[in-house]
Amino acid sequence: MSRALWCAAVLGSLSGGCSRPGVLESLPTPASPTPAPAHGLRAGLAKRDITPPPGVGLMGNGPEGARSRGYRQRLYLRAVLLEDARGERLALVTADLTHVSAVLHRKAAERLSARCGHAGIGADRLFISATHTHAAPGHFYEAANYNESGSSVPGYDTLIVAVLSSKIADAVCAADSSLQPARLAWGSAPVWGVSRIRSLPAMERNIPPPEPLSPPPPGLSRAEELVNPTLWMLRIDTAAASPGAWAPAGAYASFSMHNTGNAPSGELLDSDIYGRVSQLVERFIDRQAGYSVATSGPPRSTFAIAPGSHGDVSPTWPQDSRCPLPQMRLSLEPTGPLMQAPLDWNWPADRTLAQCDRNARRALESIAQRIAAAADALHTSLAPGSANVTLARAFETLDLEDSFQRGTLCPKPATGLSSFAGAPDSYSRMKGWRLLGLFKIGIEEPSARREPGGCHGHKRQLVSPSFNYKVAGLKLPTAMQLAVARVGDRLLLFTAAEVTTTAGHRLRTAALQSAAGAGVTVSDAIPISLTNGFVQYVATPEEYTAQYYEGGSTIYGPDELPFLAEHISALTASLGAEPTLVLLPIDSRPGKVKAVVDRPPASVVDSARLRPRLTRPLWCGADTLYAAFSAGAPGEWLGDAGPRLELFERDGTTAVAWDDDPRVAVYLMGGKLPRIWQLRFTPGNDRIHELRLTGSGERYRWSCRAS
Amino acid sequence: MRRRTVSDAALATSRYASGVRARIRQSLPGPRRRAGGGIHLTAAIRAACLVAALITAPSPLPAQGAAAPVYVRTDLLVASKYVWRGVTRSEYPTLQAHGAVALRGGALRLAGGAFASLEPFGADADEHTLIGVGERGIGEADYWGEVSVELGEVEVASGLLRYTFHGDDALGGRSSVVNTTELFARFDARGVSFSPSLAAWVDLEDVRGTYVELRAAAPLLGWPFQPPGFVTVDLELGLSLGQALDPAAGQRANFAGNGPTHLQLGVSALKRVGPWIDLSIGLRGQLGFDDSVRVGADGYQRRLKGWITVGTVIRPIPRREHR
Repeated sequence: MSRALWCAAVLGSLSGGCSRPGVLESLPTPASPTPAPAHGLRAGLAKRDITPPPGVGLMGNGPEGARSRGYRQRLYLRAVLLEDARGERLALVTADLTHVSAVLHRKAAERLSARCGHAGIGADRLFISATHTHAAPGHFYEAANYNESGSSVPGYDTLIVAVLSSKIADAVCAADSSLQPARLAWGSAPVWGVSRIRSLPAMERNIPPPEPLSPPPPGLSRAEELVNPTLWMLRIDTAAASPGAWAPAGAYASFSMHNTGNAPSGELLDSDIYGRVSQLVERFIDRQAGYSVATSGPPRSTFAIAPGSHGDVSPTWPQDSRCPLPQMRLSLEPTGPLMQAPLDWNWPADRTLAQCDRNARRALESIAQRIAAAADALHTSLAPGSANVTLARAFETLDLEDSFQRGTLCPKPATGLSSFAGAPDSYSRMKGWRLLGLFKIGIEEPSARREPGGCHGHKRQLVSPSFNYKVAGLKLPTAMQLAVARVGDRLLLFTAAEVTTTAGHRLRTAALQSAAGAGVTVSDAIPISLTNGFVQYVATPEEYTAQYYEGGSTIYGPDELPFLAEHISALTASLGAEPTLVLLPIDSRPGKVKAVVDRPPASVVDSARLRPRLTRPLWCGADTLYAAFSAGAPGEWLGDAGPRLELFERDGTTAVAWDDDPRVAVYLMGGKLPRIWQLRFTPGNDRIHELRLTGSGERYRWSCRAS
Repeated sequence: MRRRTVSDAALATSRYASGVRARIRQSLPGPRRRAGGGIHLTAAIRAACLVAALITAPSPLPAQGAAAPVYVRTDLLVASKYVWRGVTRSEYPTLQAHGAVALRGGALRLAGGAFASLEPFGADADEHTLIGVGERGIGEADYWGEVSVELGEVEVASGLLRYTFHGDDALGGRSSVVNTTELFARFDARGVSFSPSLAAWVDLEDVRGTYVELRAAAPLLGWPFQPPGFVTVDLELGLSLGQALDPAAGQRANFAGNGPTHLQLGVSALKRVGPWIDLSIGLRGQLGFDDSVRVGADGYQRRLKGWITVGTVIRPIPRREHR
């Protein structure tokens, strides 16, 4: 989403407010050390809680992304560190974030080198993929546009950058510390009926016309048949306690679907569908490994899931999970007969918003259960795997505005008007905007020019290409990090953009052809989106002509996909000889720096004072249990301390949930030291009779029974 | 500005005012900034204290939002002119304060408020004034109450509006002699993008007939990010339906004739700087049709006039921003 329209009209080109932001810093280039021979295949896995304090903007829905008021499922980093017998190492990290920026990637790599250089992971071996939940913080991009307009809360926050990059480094260091002899096994299975193509008319323009990638089951719509249904999985088993035995430790997986089950009108931080899938599969793997299965507290195993070629793929959320958007109407505030009522954003009723949220949660849970069931089955079907797996990687920093690239990419990036309108997962209130309430100006989806013009072809731009560039293009990213990793006989094709289904298929084809030509023996290639940066979307040239949201957000023009395919091919081919390593500095131009997230108290606070305590008795309303409790200080990240509160059966020993559960919502209600929170628990069929506040030893029983 | 022909009623008003002003001009020592009327300033101080108390009083109420049960709103405005239904009442900068409280229950809303216009500088003899030439203080204080019902995207409101004036007739102001009460009804279509509104006022005392106003406010820009802001274009058309001067009837009148009184075009920008405060600026231009709207205190006619307003909205109950 861009605020170009608003920026243009309010500030114009006269004020300079829409000029290119200044360089805050040049991002570091920490390269990996030369690998030293090791002792066979090893793997280490780790998790870190990255749930920020409430107050951050929920990134990804543009102006519809609310300021967060609390959290539901916590946000995590999941790190998988692999090392082969030659000492080659790869760190595959997934983050419950909307995107990952080059800032986070480079700073994490720098901290990693400083904190545990022996891990052997520089920027070129670190692959951080966002799970693409739209209920996570932003405020960490090197391109100002995303800091300013990714949510309703603008600003680049150096503290968020510091904490997240530190936690990424910490997770990889922890994975390094837990390295053990390992066996790996690749597998895949189709998961149908949970996703659909959201821009079908654009996809239908592809030549040749799209066909299902594998035979679909009967009863699906065409939009559901044309998705890439493949769930890829790398099962990881590590040496068990008894000699010669192996135990499942986790998996790294990819699926091609937006992680947007939540209603865009939501106000809680949440890891969305993939977070729930990870929870479910991790508990399954825990059971397989024979760990005690506690439902309060994080699972021991790690299931990391990265987004595949999902740019034009939505989950099958129901329409009633998307609420009406706020409309600009006369204010409801009283002005009486003497004053003129001003305009205001009029929101749907709270009850309507709550119902959308509830509908979305129901669909989210259903979709997550189906993917998790398929993942469980796939995990079971994979044998412990092979220890004879080798690793390789090639890495490249592309300067997208470099004159060298001209002739392929447009020299200046541009977002189309369809990008202002938003996508079906979360349309923006700008969609259908009419000047003076009467005249359409093209903020629609799709929004294509009748005749292509200039480098950006069919893309409709704000006023004119030069104006659009001046007010918005200057705040878009100018560099992209691209990488290809080989894990055994599979290639992972890492791009920093959201690649559409057909675009991903073409990248895969290009990589496999290149591998065959270069003598690189692989059986498949898996596109992974949103890795090590964010450069919006990549649609095919044919899809681009339709100018749906994905085409409008392909910011370097219609030939971005052929350009990337060429580079992916070259990187793949280099794996057969000397892997490419081009690690260049990137200028960070994040725009206005703000303290978005609360800062911790300046003075030391008695920790006992910050322990969770019930501040108001439990009460029941409809099917939800409520409790108010105090805990923590402003600026406190939840961290890895585990549960703050747990919910138990009547026996007081059988835990059924904690504050990382889709049925538990925790809202910040205010307070300074400590903060005051409200728990809302919708237990479904469980009969819960005891709430335990962790760290205080306090237990509370209640008599009302939610049903 | 070229002098134009005016109707007899407007001319009479204009000549009367000009005569008064000429006499005053002769009797006063300086061109401007004369001593103010103490009693009016006391009233102003009282009003200011009331507003300050409203603003600073700690509020136990929850933040007001789309579905809030209670709204409280205070507008403080500096206007380069005070124009009422197209008629210039104060022709130089005035301070205006408006406070409103509303209680909401379901589709029903009860609201009430007060408005005051303060002339802080003292008018010259060739300027329209409410308080009187050379005087300073509150020239007009109005009180209103209304009940409104939301019917889907439409709101219908009706209520009473009481005008009280505190000027000096002898100095060209408006005194309590012309205090009056109006019954009004308003119809707002909120579901339409240019927010059309139709309102009608009927004087319950000396002025016969009805005044009708048609308004539309179209968004030029709406800033969707935090903090939000708006640029609005609005159009207003006034119609006098029987509020013209009828010498035979002998009653007071608001306008010189019947029919369209004025067409007003406004552009205003509002920026919310937090849950408590908005800042606003507005530019307004008016094309006058009725003589009473066009005629100046100096007796000259001006078909076109413009003015500017700068103000703030203060909410004792903070507003809930998102949702």
